[in-house]
Amino acid sequence: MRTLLIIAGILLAAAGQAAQPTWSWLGGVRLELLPAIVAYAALSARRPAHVVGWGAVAGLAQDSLSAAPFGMTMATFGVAALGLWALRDWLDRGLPWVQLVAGAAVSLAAGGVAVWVVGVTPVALVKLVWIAALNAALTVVVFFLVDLARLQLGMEAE
Amino acid sequence: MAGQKTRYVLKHKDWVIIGLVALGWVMFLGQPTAVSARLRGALARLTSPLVKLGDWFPTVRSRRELAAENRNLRTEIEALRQRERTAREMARENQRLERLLEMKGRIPHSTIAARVIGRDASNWWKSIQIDRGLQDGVRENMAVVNADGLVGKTVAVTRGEARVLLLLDPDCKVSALLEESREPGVVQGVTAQARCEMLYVNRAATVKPGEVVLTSGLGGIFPRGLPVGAVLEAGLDAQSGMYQRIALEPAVDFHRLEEVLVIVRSQ
Repeated sequence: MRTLLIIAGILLAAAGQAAQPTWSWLGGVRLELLPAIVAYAALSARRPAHVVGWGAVAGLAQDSLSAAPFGMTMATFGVAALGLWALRDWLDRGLPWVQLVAGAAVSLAAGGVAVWVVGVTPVALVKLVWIAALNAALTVVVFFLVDLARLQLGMEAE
Repeated sequence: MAGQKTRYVLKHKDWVIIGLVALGWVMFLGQPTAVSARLRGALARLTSPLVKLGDWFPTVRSRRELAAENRNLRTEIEALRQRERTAREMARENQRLERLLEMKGRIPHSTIAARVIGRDASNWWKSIQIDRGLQDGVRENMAVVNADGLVGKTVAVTRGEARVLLLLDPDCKVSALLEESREPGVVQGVTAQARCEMLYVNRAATVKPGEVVLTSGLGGIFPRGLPVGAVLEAGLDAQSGMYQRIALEPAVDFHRLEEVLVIVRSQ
């Protein structure tokens, strides 16, 4: 049941990304929910297989709704999530700055590879940093909302 | 004497009151409009609270009925407004489809009309998703247009939908030419930006701002003569110095894509 809920959440987040226009007031980018979800999974799950699994599902969901090379985001999300998971003992997931850094790290990892593929230009690098900053902020919101939902539903941490 | 006058007045007090009222009425009628309006306002303020007392009288039932009728009318108005919004949206859609049909008439190939159902989930690629796929005859590398001009080409096609790589994406390269000077070049998107440019244009060519850029028909994907954009500014390519690099204003507003045509001929 929990697995189905998580997959449904990931698919909804991916669909939300694809349904969004690019927001001119955000500098012509769209908000990405999936890096925040991957960061959440990385700092919340106990088993590395789960972390990589959720990262892969999120990456595949994004790739399937994008013109990106299929599987590229799956790999970057998975690796970034595993890296964060490896550091979880030194990180207090309840601290907002940890959540910020985790969201930014996942976003930078996925975006960095994307920039490398589409071509490194000064504008692309500025955009990369800006998107990472937005995703970092969004990650804090996602942590708060998902923790709250889990508390309400009585779902224990993995 | 005074006592006699008082007694006379008291004896005929009704007539005195009537006379005073009549006099007041005549005076009131003779007042300038502003003053009479002020008087009317003052009186209305005095009497309005009394009007509300009417709620306590038998008419209270009809007021309730009025309130209910009011509620019903408001609901009806909201429903009509909703219907009006839908009608307006349909009229707009009709206009767009009419323009799309005009474009369809200008293209000497068979086309498939499709609706845009999604955008790119990533911030790094420029693509859209349409609701036509293999079962409708859509295949990879088919040109996609709307009423204004070239939108892009299909890149990934599944049974019921297809992904269209937009002209704004650096991976979407289009062989094009300047309408007046007939100088050829290649149009492609600019990395990480929502604009496109024309590359490899002869450095000796005269390029005028506003000049229209059309597809050249070379390459086999995009038919000849589709509007691509207009020249914003031209300059020498800084990297090679051998060609001109032209910034383009795309013919299509990529933020407002709703219906498109997939051109089938090129397979």
